[in-house]
Amino acid sequence: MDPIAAKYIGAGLATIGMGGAAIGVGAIFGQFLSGALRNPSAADGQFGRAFIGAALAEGLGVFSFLVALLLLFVV
Amino acid sequence: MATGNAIDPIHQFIVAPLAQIRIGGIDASFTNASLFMVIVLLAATFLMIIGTAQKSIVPGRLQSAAEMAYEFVASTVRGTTGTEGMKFFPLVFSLFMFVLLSNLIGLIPYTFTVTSQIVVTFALAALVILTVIIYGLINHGTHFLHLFVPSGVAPALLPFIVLIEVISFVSRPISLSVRLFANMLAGHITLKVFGAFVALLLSAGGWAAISPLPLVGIVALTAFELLVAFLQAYVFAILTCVYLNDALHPGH
Amino acid sequence: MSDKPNPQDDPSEEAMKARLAALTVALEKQKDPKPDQEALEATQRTGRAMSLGFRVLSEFVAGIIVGAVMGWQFDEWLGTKPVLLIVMTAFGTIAGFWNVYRLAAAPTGPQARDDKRSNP
Repeated sequence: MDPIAAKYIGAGLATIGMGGAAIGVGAIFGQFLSGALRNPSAADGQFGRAFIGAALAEGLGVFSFLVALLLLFVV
Repeated sequence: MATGNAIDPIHQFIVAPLAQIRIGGIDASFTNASLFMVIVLLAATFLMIIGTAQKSIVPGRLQSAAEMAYEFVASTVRGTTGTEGMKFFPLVFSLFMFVLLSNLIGLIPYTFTVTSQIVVTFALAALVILTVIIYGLINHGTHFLHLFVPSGVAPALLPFIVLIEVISFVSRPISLSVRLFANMLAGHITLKVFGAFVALLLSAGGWAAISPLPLVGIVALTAFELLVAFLQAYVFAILTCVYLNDALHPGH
Repeated sequence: MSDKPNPQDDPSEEAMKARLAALTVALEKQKDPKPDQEALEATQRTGRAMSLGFRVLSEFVAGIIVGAVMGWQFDEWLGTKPVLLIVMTAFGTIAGFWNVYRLAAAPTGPQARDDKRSNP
């Protein structure tokens, strides 16, 4: 396997990490909505924190995207 | 747009010189980016000066727009840095108007989005951070460095804490500029890719039946981009206030 | 002797109707300011939450990247190839979480104080 092909395969595999981020964000908003349904009055206060959780999950996903970019353009 | 059958979303970000100007070996040619910066500048000046020309009690459309922009940024600055932060209001307001208008003008087809260039957003972020550093040093002298030494930390941990504070301070301009740049870049690339889908589907004979699907996608995406345009301008302004707040009273 | 009758006690029919219409419009506005107020509140809240999300995402990622790049740069200068990169990336991660904590748990500025009072 010549390195160029390996690089592209690696970049492709790296983007699977974004799937993990998607699952994380889905889980956070799912839990938030089910909690908000149980106690709608408290939902407004926690709306910001749901986005913080989602941002952190997305942040960790961004790194797999970063690795893919590094593999494609830098290495 | 789609050259041949390849989707080419990057084409919109190419900075092409319109008028070649060489000053002493430096290529200071007037490019389409500078053209759109001038357009953004004229739009902001027009909105603010013409808007507030009549000063009528019952504001017309333009005047209410100008007043709304002013009130929005003024309340943000007052809310985040208090009344003493108001002396930075001109800086924050011009940053907000420049980012907002260049985002909005960039949404119009066949225009060039000024803030989709990393060099532009980094210049704005560097401007903010240099103001923070210079003002902090002038105003508080070496006391400004207490920004990196939070109070009530065990001396043993100090070098680590200071290193962490330095990293988080250096990460501010990076996060300020990369956030605006990435949002604008990603938004416009997605728009162009969806646009290319419509073009490809239309030219694909039988498949033209489902071409309105990406068209609906573009409409939804443009609405989302409009929200992102306002949001990024707001986030840029409020974070400028938060960082200026650190310069006003270091050592949180 | 102003010959123009005062609009208040103008007996003619149209003036009466005009005043009636103005009155109903005012009443209408008075009666239910709440729904559009709530809609405005909802959009403001989503706007503010999304802006918080954007800020947290970029502060967190920037913290780690700056830590890694600084570590990598010091490695180049000091020749301690992999060590500093790993250590500085760890510090960058802590800085990233510290940024997020400072942004989320304790928003700065006087506005933060009444935030604290409104939702402890």
